[in-house]
Amino acid sequence: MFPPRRRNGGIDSDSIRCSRLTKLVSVITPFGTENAMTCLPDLFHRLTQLVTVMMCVSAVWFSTSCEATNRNVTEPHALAPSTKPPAKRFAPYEVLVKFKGGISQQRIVSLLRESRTDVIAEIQQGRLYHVRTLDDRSVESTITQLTSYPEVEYAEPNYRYETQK
Amino acid sequence: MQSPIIGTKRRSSMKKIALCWVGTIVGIATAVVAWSELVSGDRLVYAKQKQTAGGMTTLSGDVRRPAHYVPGEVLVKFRNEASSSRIASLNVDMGAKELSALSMNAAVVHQYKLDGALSVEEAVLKYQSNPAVEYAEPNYLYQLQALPNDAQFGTLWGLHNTGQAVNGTAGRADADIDAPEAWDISTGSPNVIVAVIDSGIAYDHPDLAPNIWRNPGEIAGDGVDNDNNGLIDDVHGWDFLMNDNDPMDPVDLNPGGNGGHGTHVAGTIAGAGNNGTGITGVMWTARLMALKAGGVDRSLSTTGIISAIQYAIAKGARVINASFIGPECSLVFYDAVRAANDAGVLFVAAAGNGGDDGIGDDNDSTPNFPSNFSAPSVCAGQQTAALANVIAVAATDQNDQLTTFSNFGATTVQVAAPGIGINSTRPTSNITTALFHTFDSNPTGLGYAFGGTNSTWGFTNSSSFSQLNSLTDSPTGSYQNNTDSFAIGPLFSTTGQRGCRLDSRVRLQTELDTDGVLVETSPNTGASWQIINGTSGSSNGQFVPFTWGDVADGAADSRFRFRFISNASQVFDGVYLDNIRIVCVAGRPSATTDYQFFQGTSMATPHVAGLAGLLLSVNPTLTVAQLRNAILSTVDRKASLSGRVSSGGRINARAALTSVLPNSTVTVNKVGAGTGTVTSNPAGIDCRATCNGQFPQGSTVNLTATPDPGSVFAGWSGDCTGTGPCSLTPNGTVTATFNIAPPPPAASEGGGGCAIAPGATGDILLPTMFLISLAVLLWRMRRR
Repeated sequence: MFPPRRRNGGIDSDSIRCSRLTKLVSVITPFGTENAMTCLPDLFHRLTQLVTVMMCVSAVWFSTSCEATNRNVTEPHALAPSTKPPAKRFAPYEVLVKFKGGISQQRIVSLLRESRTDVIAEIQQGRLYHVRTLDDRSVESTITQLTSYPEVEYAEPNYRYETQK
Repeated sequence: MQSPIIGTKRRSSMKKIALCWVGTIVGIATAVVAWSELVSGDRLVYAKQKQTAGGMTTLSGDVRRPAHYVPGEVLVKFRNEASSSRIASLNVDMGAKELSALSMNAAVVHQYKLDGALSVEEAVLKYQSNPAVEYAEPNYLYQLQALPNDAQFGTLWGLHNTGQAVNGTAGRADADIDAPEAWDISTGSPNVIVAVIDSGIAYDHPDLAPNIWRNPGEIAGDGVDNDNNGLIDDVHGWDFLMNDNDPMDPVDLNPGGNGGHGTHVAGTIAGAGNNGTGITGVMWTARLMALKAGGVDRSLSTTGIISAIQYAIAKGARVINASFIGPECSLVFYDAVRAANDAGVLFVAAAGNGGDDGIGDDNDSTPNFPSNFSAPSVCAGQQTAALANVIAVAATDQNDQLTTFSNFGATTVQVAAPGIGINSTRPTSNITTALFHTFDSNPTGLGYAFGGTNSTWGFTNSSSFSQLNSLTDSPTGSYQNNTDSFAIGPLFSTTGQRGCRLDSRVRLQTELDTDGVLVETSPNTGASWQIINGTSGSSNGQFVPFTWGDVADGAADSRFRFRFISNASQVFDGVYLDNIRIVCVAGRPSATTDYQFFQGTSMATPHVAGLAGLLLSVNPTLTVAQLRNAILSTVDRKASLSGRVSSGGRINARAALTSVLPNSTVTVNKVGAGTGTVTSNPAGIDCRATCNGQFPQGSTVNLTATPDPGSVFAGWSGDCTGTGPCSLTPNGTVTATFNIAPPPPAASEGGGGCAIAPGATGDILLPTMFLISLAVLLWRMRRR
């Protein structure tokens, strides 16, 4: 009953991150290929590679978030049982967005609604907002959308830092 | 040794010259005997001192620096605390005014300020001659390099390395930050607030409790935001991770979990010093602000960190310790550290531990933050300037070598400090269980509720994976596409609990990164939820221990909820949860066993933060740029650090402290009908025109009075007495009296006689002139 119908990428990770983009890219990692490709037709394999190459090319056009994604491509993932979760680069579903000065509250509210986010905290009134992405929306795509608005100074994931013991 | 009182009047006749010299010799002899008795205890103290190569306190033989005591002050202990009227009348005779009465083991030692009529030496002798006095002595300026009595001080090689083996590793003498030498100057101050942004602090640890900051604006436990900062009962700081008022450091004994990181860091900065127990920090005394921005999973989020920085600035911290790094440059983070810079708050950051392979990386080419804010950076595509308040710290070992794990950077890392085999405070390992679910008997009676989109949550009775039952999102096979379902646990309470966390055993198989399980907690029965963690991917068919994260402390109606989320492609087995547990810290550390050794640049960083605190304790007006410069420019340069850190060295607390001592003033007044000059050694005062001088604090200034022709020097008053050389420590005021010289004597040796030329040459001049006078005397007698 419980053995899986087919094995997934086999990549051990502990965070939901980078969403679909990462998923597509991760299929051709050396580790992912070994497991995932056994159950995929060759033609589909080629197609996936093509899509992946396109994704990588397009990734160049993305800002910071895609840098993180690209790192995932080459990051080796151990298949051994994990006792220590790998470092999480940012909090899932969370974004920090800073608006330029002098943007009206109504405009800010409407932009945040348009980009499908919920305010967790207003860190600096009228400027800096800690928001949650809705509808399982990826952090990357939310940031891409937010930074496309001229009213936004910058938007970034809620990055995580690790103690250095 | 110089006699404190030398000097007689000129006499014209030979007999008078002879008498004069005999008197002087007797006087000197008496003073020497009295003085040697007086200073015998002092010599003992010196004998115990560690000699420092080239250090300011190195003394040879019996030579002691004159006036190495507080000018104009004496300490007196009376036998059986003689009657107060008797003490009062004695003090009137002495011209002494009580500054304080120090209680020492039931005895009382009085600190007196003299009005200047008697010198300190005279007053001491006079007090000692009084039968009511048990002892009297100058208020010596030393406790020189006294080692603290903390039981485990010998393990703290980073502070004092004698080559001792620590944790089985031998070191090299003086491969340390020269803490005892620095403690000569300062052991800290309760006025210096150092903020620790970390996993929290075990603020009740006996070796930390005396040094924990208390918010002066907040009344503990009254449920009111007394200081109107939006936070209720933020007494020791705040938990910015769980948004509660308890910054207790949680303990996670799971592999890779936080084992008291913040508590360890805090102990290195300011573990209570010289209290007879455990360890001491770089500062014996300070105020540690506990700002919890991370927790049991060892990670801190940008939002938690920046809120903590804002709090530290608002509440008057002067130094922030940041023992964490990440590869991502956050503009929000940069802006917060820049705000700290603008507010004069130093930000000390770990250089990092070499990433996944644990081999030190070059931060110049592989940036890590916040460490790299110390140099120009590219942050999210934007160029950001170096911040003057950031010091990035690498880690050295017991032999002054860069540790293998330590990151480095010729421009991006500034200094190194001890960071391996570091002993410090640990939170208690005494924990209580607030909730524990094995699902093995009557799981449906536990009070779980299931719901959401495509929910199939339930319990499995299969023992093939779990002993015996477990909670799972999909008991009958794989999960479905487009699921967002949940299992809400029963109400639990963390009232009266501190440092609470949620963990369990987990077996997981989901589509990586798109499907997985989220854990949320609510402090208010489920009215609002906070995501504390999420995971996806595979645990390779194994149940593994997993610490989900922190739970709000002190909340009576708490809940947790597991959410299972999947997208529109690929389905797998899902998640199994067993032994769901909420554990909290119980009781305070025992003080005898609650210490542990850690290594990392996390441990090097607080050595620098503690040093910054020491610097501020002696000079609170230092700017961040001055603080940074004092630490960077006084390092002990090491070949192993050349090209690895911008300063090329490991910090030296003594040298840094010496460089920031505020100057003190010596003021000279001249009175009398005569004229003359007063000059100083070291130079600074030339009192014809310049009668004020600035000198480094702690140094000794020798003043010499030279009468003009036709005048005589009649003596000092104020912080010096007599007519001999005047030696004093700065922040002193002396008055030199010059009188009109009496008519020229019939037979004079032209300035000879008993006039003692002041200054350092007095010792040689004295016997020389004595011999000359003797020769003249004999020659004249022979002629008769």
